[in-house]
Amino acid sequence: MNDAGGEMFRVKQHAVVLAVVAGVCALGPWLWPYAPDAQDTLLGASAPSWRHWLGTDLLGRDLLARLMEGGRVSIGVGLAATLVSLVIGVTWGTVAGYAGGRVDRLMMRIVDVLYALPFTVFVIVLTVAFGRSLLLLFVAIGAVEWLTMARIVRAQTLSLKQRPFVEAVVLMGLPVRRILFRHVMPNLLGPVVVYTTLTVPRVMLLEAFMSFLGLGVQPPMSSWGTLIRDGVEVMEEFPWMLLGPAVVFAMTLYSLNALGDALWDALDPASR
Amino acid sequence: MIRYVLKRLAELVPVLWAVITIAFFLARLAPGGPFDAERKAPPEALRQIEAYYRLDQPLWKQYALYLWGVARGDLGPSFRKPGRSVTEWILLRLPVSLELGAYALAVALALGLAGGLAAALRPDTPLDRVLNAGALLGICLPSFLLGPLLVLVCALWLGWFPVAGWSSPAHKVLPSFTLGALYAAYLARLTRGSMLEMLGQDFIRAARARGVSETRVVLVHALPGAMVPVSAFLGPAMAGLFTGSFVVETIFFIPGLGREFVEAAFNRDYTMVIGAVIVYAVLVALLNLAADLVTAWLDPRIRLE
Repeated sequence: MNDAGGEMFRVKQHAVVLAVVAGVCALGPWLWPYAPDAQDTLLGASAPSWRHWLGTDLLGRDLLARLMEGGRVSIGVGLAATLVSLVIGVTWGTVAGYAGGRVDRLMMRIVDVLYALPFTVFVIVLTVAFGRSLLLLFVAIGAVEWLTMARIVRAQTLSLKQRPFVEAVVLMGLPVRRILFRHVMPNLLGPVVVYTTLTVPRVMLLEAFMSFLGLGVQPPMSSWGTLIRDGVEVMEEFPWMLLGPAVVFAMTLYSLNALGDALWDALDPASR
Repeated sequence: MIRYVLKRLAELVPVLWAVITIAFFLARLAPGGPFDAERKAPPEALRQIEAYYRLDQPLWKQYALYLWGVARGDLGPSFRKPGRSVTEWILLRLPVSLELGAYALAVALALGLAGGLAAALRPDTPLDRVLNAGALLGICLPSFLLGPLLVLVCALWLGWFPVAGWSSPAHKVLPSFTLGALYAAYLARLTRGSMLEMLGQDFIRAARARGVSETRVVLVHALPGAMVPVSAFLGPAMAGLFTGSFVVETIFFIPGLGREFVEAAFNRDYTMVIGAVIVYAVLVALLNLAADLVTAWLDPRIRLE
């Protein structure tokens, strides 16, 4: 908070870690000779070795390759669900903040009520209703994760509304849609970016949580959550099947949270 | 005060109605009924079953009957576990989840408050740094990782605790710790922050200048004020502890409501799912209300209206 240089260094540090994780997952098929679904039943489960850095699972599939494939799904779901929450949250918050008065009160009352509900419970109910598909998973997660974003954006819009440049475009008689999209929303960028970086780890956590319970990503697809679930089942005999995914997942979550915190401190949206 | 509580309880009614309605129609929207599974039952039996569960009636009538049932505390029969009604199942399972949540809350409060206070009283020392690192670790290790890792190390390798189950006190240690760890970490960070802020206030300096003993300054002058943000956090925290135990109950095979709910979601046991959702919503609302009351009691500046 006191020295912005230190914050920016922290931001870069975590951004590099995340870029490496995401890059390795994305480029996995070109970097690593094993395919995630190539079985080697003769080999079976083997401990980490020079040939298989993270070991192999019960079917002899290379765990590093599986981890990279799981990462593509986990990170993909994380980004897609965050996008959903971003669209709903920003729209809701801007409209409420800009409209003000009774509309604002009603819209924020809805947010308050939703806040009081147990979310994971609702995501699970949604999987009951619509089956367990990947698309639904991230729509459902996005649909419950937008509330805080809506609150932040609303507060920001309320203060923007008082600023001279917004009053000016209102007086110029621009249509409301244009004012919102061209003049208000671009000025929300800072806090929105910061809060988005904090939403991604929450969303990834929720995805892994659902997948761990068996209600999220379904086989043959795998995510970090399903890999952890598989690892837990055999952790007594083959602990590396749990430890590999566990370490990568925890490290990614940590970096994402730390990146969000560092950005938060560096940009300090509260004081803008 | 009483008027405030009554008002909050009255506000609960429309919320609950919305929850029930959403859950009811979401469950009915689902493609495929709970009975068109593996073996095709003879049509006559199917008709009887549908009549028993009132599935043969129009949707609005099912909905009205369900609401009427809920108002009387009857959550209907379970689709998948005949013999007991959903209300009976919930009464059987809920106490276990509440017990687990209470232990986890105790773990979170004990570790979180002690850790946060210790760190705040010795800021920027090795102790502070160790505690901070511990809190960060707690936040980055979700329960579905922490639980299995604890089982692996403390139960399978060291043999200190049983692997799973819920019969003896020894069984309850690992699940309580797994569930409470995240909140202990949050509480520690929150306590440290707000305690440091309090200790920097003028009235604390004045108290020290008057020669008040350090113990008294910390416990009597600073602590109550520092607890305000902590108790505000306790509402959501307790809600999370009492309703967020699906994973912990699944990992440790604990016969609580969380595991029942996940099982019901798997088996598309609609009435059980809706019943559990209602219970969770009520629980969360009541816990938030309780937390607001405690916060107002700690900080007289907060007016309840």
